Amino acid sequence: MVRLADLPEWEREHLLEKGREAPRFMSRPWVRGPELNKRRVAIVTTSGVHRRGDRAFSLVPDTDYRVIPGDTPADELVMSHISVNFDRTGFQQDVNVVFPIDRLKELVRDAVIASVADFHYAFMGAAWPPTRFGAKARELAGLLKRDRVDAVLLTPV
Amino acid sequence: MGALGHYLEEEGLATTQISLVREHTELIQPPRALWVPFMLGRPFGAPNDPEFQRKVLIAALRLLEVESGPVLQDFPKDAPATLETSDMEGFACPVNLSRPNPDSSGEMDMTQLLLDEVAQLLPWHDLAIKRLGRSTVGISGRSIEEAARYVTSHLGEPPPPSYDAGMSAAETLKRACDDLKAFYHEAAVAQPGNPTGDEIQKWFWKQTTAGRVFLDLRDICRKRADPGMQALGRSVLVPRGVER
Repeated sequence: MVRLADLPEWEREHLLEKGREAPRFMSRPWVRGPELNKRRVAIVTTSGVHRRGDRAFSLVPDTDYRVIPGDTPADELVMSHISVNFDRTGFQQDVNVVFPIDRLKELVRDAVIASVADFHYAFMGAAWPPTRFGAKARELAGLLKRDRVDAVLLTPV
Repeated sequence: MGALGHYLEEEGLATTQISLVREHTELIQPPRALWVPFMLGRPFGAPNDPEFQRKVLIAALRLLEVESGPVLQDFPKDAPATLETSDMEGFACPVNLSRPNPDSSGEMDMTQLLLDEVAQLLPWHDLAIKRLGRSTVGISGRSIEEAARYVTSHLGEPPPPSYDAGMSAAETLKRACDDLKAFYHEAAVAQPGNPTGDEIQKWFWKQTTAGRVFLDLRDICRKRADPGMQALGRSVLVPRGVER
């Protein structure tokens, strides 16, 4: 369970240190949209997941992203996040514990959401501070809109 | 993660996110976030538990229907795996792995010991592929035996070059290491006893030749002149808190 108070001191200190560098935004953007059952959803993850044949993420953290087509089979997904400080055994057993693509498709079947995007996107979240992702996030926004996405599910690792 | 939400929302896209570290999310204040009390690496709680994953997913998506924000909501349940009592008191791999004696040294010895260990785990890894229908091994582009040989070749002098013209030796070493670890983890998951992620980690670092090779490699990389290798040794090969 991840509560900072429950973590070993070295891990708690590391995460607190990262927190001290976290950005404080002055604005509070808020986008409204249709009801959930009319939404088209895309996943954007910072887990460093990508297709097996794609370039792995660099050892020097950058803000590049990889594209994951919605019809990518689970057995094509691998992870090249550089951090060794999180559990990978869950992802190794089931992609959906990190990248819930099958769960999203089930929600379409059950009419909880309207549709799933044709394309999803993966960053490798080791780049810090996260303000470094600004330019690429704005680039992604254009791509997501072209895919008619109106709800983005952001998933870390 | 929270910053991505902020930027996408500024561009006119509604976002909702999973938060694993509540303290970071409180500082960044993204538009919508669901904090989950799960271990790092498992934002949807538990592998192979579609019902639980669905509950987490729907809770995150429902935040899109909240009238105003920013909103940071807590998911009320722990992941099922953390509530289970493991079937065994600490995972001990039933395969007789031949971890070397502390005074063993020399590249050839470690290479052979590692290859022997890999060979002993191969049947379990084959079973894992059958059960899981997939494997996450493969980012190095090498067979598992080639990856093992490449990893131990970095224990000696001079360090070997990259096997890929487009990548540094540090990059190829990291990928070979990732493949080895994934291979061990997947082989362990296939064995009886339903070991937890924590148990597999303890087994890997305390009981296997591969774990010892990684620890040796960490110390060697820290002393290399190559900054990439130094970075590997500092923080990218062995998790914080793992010692011999």
